[in-house]
This record gives sequence, structure tokens and C-alpha cells, in this order.
Amino acid sequence: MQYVYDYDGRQVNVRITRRPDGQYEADIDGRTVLFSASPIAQNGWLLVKDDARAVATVVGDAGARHVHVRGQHYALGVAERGGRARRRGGGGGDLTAQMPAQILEVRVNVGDRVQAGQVLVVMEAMKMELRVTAPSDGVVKQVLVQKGQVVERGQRLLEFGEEVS
Amino acid sequence: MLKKCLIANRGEIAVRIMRACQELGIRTVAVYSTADRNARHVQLADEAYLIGEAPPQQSYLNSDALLSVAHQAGCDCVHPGYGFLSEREMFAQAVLDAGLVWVGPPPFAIAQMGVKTTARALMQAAGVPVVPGYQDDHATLEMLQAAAQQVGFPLMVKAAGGGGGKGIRIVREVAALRDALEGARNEAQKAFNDPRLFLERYIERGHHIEVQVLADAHGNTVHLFERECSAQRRHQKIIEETPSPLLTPALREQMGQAAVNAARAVGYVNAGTVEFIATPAGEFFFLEMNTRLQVEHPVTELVTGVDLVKLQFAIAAGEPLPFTQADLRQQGHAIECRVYAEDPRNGFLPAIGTVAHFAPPHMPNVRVDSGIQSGDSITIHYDPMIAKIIAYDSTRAGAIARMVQALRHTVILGTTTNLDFLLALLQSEAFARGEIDTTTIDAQLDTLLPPLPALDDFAILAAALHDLNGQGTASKPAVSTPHDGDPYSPWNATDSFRLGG
Repeated sequence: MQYVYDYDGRQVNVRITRRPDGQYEADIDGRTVLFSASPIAQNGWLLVKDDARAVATVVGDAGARHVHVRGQHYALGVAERGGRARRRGGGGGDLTAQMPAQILEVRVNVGDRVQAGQVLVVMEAMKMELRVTAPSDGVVKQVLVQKGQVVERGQRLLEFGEEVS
Repeated sequence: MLKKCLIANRGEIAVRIMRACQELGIRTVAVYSTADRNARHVQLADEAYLIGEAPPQQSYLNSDALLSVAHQAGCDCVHPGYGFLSEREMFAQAVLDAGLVWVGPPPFAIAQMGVKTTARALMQAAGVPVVPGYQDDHATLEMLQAAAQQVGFPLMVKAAGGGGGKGIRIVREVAALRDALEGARNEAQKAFNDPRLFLERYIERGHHIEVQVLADAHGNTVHLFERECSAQRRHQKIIEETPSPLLTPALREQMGQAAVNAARAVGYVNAGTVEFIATPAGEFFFLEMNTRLQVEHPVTELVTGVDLVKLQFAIAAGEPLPFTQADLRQQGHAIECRVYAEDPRNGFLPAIGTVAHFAPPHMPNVRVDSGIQSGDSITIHYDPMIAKIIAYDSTRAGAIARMVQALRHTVILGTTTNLDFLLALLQSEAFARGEIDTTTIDAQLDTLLPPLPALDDFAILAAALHDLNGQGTASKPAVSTPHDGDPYSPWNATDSFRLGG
């Protein structure tokens, strides 16, 4: 996939692919970077490139990707042209459970307009509270679970539509 | 002892007060506006009541609504925190009139310190030094000129009728005085329809140093040393620390005693703060007294080992102070940084938005007082402070080094913050030398503002991985595990917490 970001008034072009061996290959403005990445914790990645390792935390909203890595915060603007990174495969769609869990709370109803990052559903698994948040501003199209229900990994929780405005 | 407290506030200070209540076995009652339904202070309280809409006038400043909740919930006391109604003597009196205990100073002490001219006269009578000046409602230009010699140069010509910088002149020598007086008088007449002027000595390179006091209802008043609060931008405190690098032991002793005298002069009871302006030459002058708990109280708690909020409740319950002045020691060094949702590169405008990810630092001798959690919104209605990070070490240099690491390990994603500005300030020469006065930051803003950091390849890779995996939706890898601690630990799930053990 190809993405274009804005940082400090410059454009950064990134093409990223996952190789069969599980490593990632990225092309950053013509430079090739080989690295491995493991998802850790919430919004976190352990990145390993050559001899360097770092934990990065990343969240996205409609306008930017916010990253904290090696003691610094970066806001990478999402470019409107080229790769159209912000649409991420059309946007919206289903929100699914990432692990078997019990639904503690459903905080939205069908038709609710929600903001990016707003908590939609709270689940519990392994005595951990997990919050499912809105990927962007949008509308709840369908609520598919209720409080107390136990869901399986991959089960759909909500149908969510990104707002086009 | 008190049994159930209405906490008439929100955010980090409401959470802080609740922590003290829980340790004391006092049940907690939170109030909230419609903007704070899911706020941390609401979740942590034993009971919570909706009191109105988001604008403070319709909720946190609505004393009738607050008193009605206190009554309904069966509270026996009210803690106001800071801001909102904390320094309104009418509210304090209303609480007392309702038969409740006010966890704060007597209303008349609030009132007397609230009127600056009254406070100034009281302090002069009590022998507390005030900024030398001259004020006479019938002063002619000739009288002002004569008085200026007594006040000394440099001095400030100020308009009696107003504020906001209008009618203010800084005069450095007698030759410039006449012009300044005439100019200020014309400006004051136009701006406030009131030509009266007064004079005040202009304190150059002044440090804002305040002294924490505690007084019980039995006549015991002590001070808990100073807090250096000169790192300000437009009168907004950014970093506070104790001890102050400016003070000698002798000066500290004098200021402590002056603060105790100031508190006694108004019959003060409970926790309060006496603010002074101090010069490198060793002079200090009373500015005002804050008749409430201060935002920056934690630094005092760390160096004295005293829990100020717990003592506020003990004092309110009529207990005597558990120590004398001689028992109190100032040990080690503590620094507080205020993390704000604001954009230092855009005029420090508040940055409203959603804090999608908040992971405070977990380090020894680092305390975080915060009222937010991941997913919370920073709204236009309230103060944009996200957290107070407080670092402690045995030395000042050690505390600075610890604070730098604490800030670097603070993850706040989704809104712009002043974290990198705080880091730059902490690591500046001026801060290292303890030479920051109240004008330094505004004067040197251009050099203090760090450039945007060069883009780290890892940041680009993380953003691309995020997009490749369609994250920011719920489709993130759920490998959350119930381990606390280092946010850099691969086992740590920073956005989760364990329920019920």
C-alpha cells in the first residue's frame, strides 16, 4: 500500500508491503527500509530495524496519524491527494471483537453521531477492560450486541459509517 | 470526623480530593456537567450527580444546584477544589448556612483577601512588606511627581480605574515621568472614563515565590516553605518547583514568617498560599493571598511529606495540626510540569479534540495528577490542562533529569500538547541556572520554542503500519495483558485496567 503524509510542510511518500517471511519492506521517498513489527499493547508496535528497536504508539483521526516514538510526538498529516490514505479501504464498515470478551456496556444507539475516538462499546476479557472506539467521525448504522453478551473473536459488534461531509 | 463530602469541582483536582477522602474513609459525591458524563472524577466517586449543561455557569458555578445535591446525597461537608466557586465567600457562607462544613477558609478571610486594596492595607498593618507605592484618589500630577521620588525608580504608573494593560507606563528615570503621567492619564480617561493614577515600584527580574500555609481552628499557624512559580507565560504558571533556587535559608525563614503573619492578620484557617514577588537582591513583597488549595500543591507535599488535602479535612473537622513549625522539614527537590492541550507553535491556542491515547509515565518518584483517560475530549468549556507531572529527587539537577525522562515517557496522542515546550524549557540554560523570572519566558519565547523534531523513520513506519492494518478502528491486535508498569514494556496494555483484581 502507498501512503502520503505531510510533516513540517513536506510530503513523505511511503510504500509498505508485508513480505512472505513476515518482515515488512517500506520505501520511504525512494529509500528502502526493511523492518519487523510486532503489535504490542493498545495502539502499540515494537519496531525493529537493523540494530535499532523502538516502541511506537500510534492513533489516527480524520486529519492525521499521531505517533509517539523515542520520546517524541509527531503529527503526520494525511494527504488529500495521491494515495488517499485517509480512506483506508473505503472507510466505515464493521467493528469486530478482537478477542473473546463479555460486553460490559454499549454506549451508543443506532443513528448516533459519534466523534473519532469516542468509546462505543466497552468489553471485558481476562479481567481487562477493552474499549472499542470510533475510527473517525461518523454514524452508528447498526448495533449488533448487547450488554452482558459474550462475543467471539471476529464477531461483529457495530456497523459504522464514516460521515462524508 | 467527616463522613461524606460533596466535591464541587471536576478534573484532576476532584480526583485528587477523592483520593484523600478514600484514605480518610469519607464517602465521595461527584457532580458533573453533560460534557463530563464519562469523566474520570465521575467514575471514581461513590455517587455522582448531573448538575447541568457544559458551560460552567450552568453547572460547576451553580451554587444552588451544588447545595441541592449536597442535601440530597446527605453530605456533611463540601470541598471546592480550586477555581470555580473556591474563592467566592458567598458560596462558602451558603455552605455554612446550610449546616455543612466548608473545607476551606472562613468566608470573611476569603472576602478580605479578595479585595486587593483591603488586603494591602491589612498586610501593611501586620508588618508584611508590600510593593512600595503611592495612592491618593485626589492626587494631582504635581503630587504624583513628588511621590515618585519616594517610591523610587523604575516605577509603574497604573490606572486606578482599570486593568488589561491600559494606562500602564514603566518609568525608569525622573526625566520621563511627566510625559508618562500625562500619557497614562489621557489613556485612563479614554479607556475607563477615570483619570486617577497610582504609582507602584516596578520590580525588575522579579520571581514569583509563594508560601504554603496551614492554620487550624485552635490558633496554630505554620508555613510549609515556598514554591517557585516564576516560569510563567502571560501570567499562566507552567513549571513550579520547591525549594526555590533564588532563596537563601535566611530569606526563606523571613518569607515563611511573613506568610504566617499574613494568614494570622485575616484570621485564616485551613490551607492557603501567600504570594510574594522576590528579587535577586533579597527583597520580597506581598502580592496576594490565594484562599484555597493551589494547582501546584503537590510539590510541597513531596518535599514535606505532608498530605495537604487530608489535613484540609482534619482542620475542617476541628482537629489541631498534628505538627509544629519545628517539626517541618523541606527535604529534596520537587518539580511540577503542567501539561496542557495547547499548541506552542500556534500562539499557545488551546487545542481542543479527543485524547485518543493517554499513557502517563510510570517511574519511581514521579507522580501524575490527572483527570483524564484515553478517549476523553478536551472541550472549550474547561481548562485545557491534561495532567500535572511531578518529579522528585534529592537534588534539583536530579529532579530535572527525572522530569525530562518522565515527560519523554508521557504519551498523549490525538491532540497537540505543550510537552516538547516543557522539555525545551526544562533543558534550557536559564532553567538550569534557576534564573527564570516572571518575564523570561515571554521575552525569550522565540529561542525557547523548539523547532519541530526531524521526522524519525520509526514514526513514518508506525503511521504506515497503522494505515496498512486499518487501525484506529477496533481492528487492532488485542494482545492486552494485565500487567502494570512501564509503557514501553511489550506486556503493558496502557489503555486498559484491571477490574476487581
